[in-house]
Amino acid sequence: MERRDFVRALVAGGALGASTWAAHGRAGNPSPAGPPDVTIVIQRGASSASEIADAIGLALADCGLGHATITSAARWRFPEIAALLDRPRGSWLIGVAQDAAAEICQAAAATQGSACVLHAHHRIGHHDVRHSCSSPSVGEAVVWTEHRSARSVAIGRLYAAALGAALQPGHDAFADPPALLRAADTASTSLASFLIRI
Amino acid sequence: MTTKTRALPKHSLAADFDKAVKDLRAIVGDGNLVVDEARLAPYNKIMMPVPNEQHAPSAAITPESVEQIQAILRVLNRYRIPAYPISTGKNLGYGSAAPVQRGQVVMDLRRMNRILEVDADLCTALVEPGVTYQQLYDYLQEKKLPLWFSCPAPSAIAGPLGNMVDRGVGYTPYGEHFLFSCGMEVVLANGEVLRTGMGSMPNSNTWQVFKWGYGPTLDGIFTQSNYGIVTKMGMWLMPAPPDFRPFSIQYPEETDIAKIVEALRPLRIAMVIPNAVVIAHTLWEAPCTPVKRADYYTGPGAIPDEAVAKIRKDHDIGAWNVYAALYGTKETNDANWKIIEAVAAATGGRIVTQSKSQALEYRFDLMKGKPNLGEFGLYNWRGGGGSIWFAPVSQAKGSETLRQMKLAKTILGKYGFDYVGEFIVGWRDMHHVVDLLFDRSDAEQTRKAYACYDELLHAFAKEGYGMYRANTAFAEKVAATYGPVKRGVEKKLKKALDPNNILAPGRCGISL
Repeated sequence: MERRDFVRALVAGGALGASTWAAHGRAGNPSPAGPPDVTIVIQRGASSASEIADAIGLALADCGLGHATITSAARWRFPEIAALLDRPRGSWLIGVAQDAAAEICQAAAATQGSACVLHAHHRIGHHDVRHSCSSPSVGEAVVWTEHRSARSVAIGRLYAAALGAALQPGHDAFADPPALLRAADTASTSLASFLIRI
Repeated sequence: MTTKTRALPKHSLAADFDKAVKDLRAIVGDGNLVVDEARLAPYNKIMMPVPNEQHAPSAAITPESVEQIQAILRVLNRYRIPAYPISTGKNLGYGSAAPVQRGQVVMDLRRMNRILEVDADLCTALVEPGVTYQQLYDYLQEKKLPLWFSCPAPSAIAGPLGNMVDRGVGYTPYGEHFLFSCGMEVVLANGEVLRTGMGSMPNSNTWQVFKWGYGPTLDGIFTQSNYGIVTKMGMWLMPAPPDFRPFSIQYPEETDIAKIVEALRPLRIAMVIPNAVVIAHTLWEAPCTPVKRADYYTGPGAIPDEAVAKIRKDHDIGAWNVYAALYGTKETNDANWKIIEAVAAATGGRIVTQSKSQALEYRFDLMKGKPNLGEFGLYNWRGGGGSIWFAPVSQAKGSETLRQMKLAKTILGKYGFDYVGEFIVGWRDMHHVVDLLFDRSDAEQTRKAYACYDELLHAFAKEGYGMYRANTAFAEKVAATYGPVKRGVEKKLKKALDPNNILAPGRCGISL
């Protein structure tokens, strides 16, 4: 699936309910609800997690969407996960972590009735990064490989779009350089990221 | 652009489904019935090598009582809409919270989460489906009750009722969870409420102490089936032993597995070792230690034996890593410890009782029923969110080990996957559990994982090794390996108990 189509379907799906803020923004009206409360959490020690988290943070900032960034403990045991999910109802948690930690966090979030509305896997090699993103409102995952020099800008913008943020003109995630067609670097680190609405 | 097609129950028209949704909303309230895709996301997140759409729910409903379930069933029967009950929905690697067939309504019982009773004298508990192991653990700690339960590896986020209903296992002497359950309450498809065992007798106070009741014992038919919705479960708790002595024994060679099982089986049967003996291969231990696969091998295909040998050397991991424990008094454990030491010495094993390894830590915790999430480290081995359990059963004999391992390793290797396996020696059986780990974000790996599992299933079945548990994507194929007579009986029971086929049709291959 093309990124362009994925993002369109994601936003059109209105899946997230963050759109109240975004819709008001697009209409030029101040939202009574205010911008969404967003926290990015990076699992300490997860290789290259900062790279993905920075890309997301930059994209959010670019859209004028404030957020907090925290670095968690290295091990996500039950108490750590419970603490991460102990946030105001309606707030958003973006996690960048090892696969296991991400899986547990999403599973624990589901137990408390919180929805994971976007999740991604990232294979970060010496030269390339492969991203695979899925969302319940979109029928198919979007997968692409890019040079590491692209600094995962596209994934950042995808998260911003998922939060309903209006991307700046010219900062369209669609317009990024063409994705590489070769398979991801086998010497790759696997990471996962996710967006949960508490 | 791909347009997502709404998932409707099989044979249901959209108009009828919408009417049913309206009726269901009136029972549970707006907030407890979900049809929009974003909020249905947790019920469609799977780790199996099949498309999510195959297991997409049409809706999810969260009742809070037996009465609400009965009302829901009246609606489902009227419109012939199937529901897929889940308790905590953490059957990870077996289907998670997703329905067995596309379009089923997930009946999420998490709001029914009361610990109804804990009897400290009789060491029993009665719980609802939404109770998690962590919740029960916290309860016992708060009340300062010296009672342990047995839990599976996803412990903290999973629940005892759901695990028992799927006949899962744990790592204390009470680890055969169905065996140590006692009494269920089941809502049948027609809304009647059955209490099994002694629970059928009014005013009985033996529901949680005597399993069998009078006449046929029905509990078993409500496990790994779709004959009813289990809304309460009795379970036995173990008094905390005065002395708990967990240990690991490491063995240097893969070929040691045969003698390990031959040496430990008699101790298991004699209950010198009262809990299931886990014998974990290097590649199960490594991700949980944790070790990064990419630090040892980045080439295509399965990790070569040379790389596995290096992992062992670098991280002091055995080719096989036995985990078991002694539970008793200091005196009995001292006596039995001599037996363990003698067996280890005679078989070339090295006993380990302390280490910095996270693998050892989580295993020791599981053996005393302390919930933890250590085994999830397996998901970091390959990354990409793909995991599917392959779990055939055999006799607990050494002769059954190497050939199973070789067969599994050959098939896994053919498709480029690693042998991440362990043997669990039960009462007289052995579960050979393999985690087929793959990158689910890679279409080619996903395709291969499906083909690999399919080949494993059929190759092992041909040798007479049946599965003890299976994921929902392969339910039908696994059921088929057990032959037509059994399936015929299961179908007759289904017709008798659920003639409208509204309870999880397809679960374990049972449907009308």
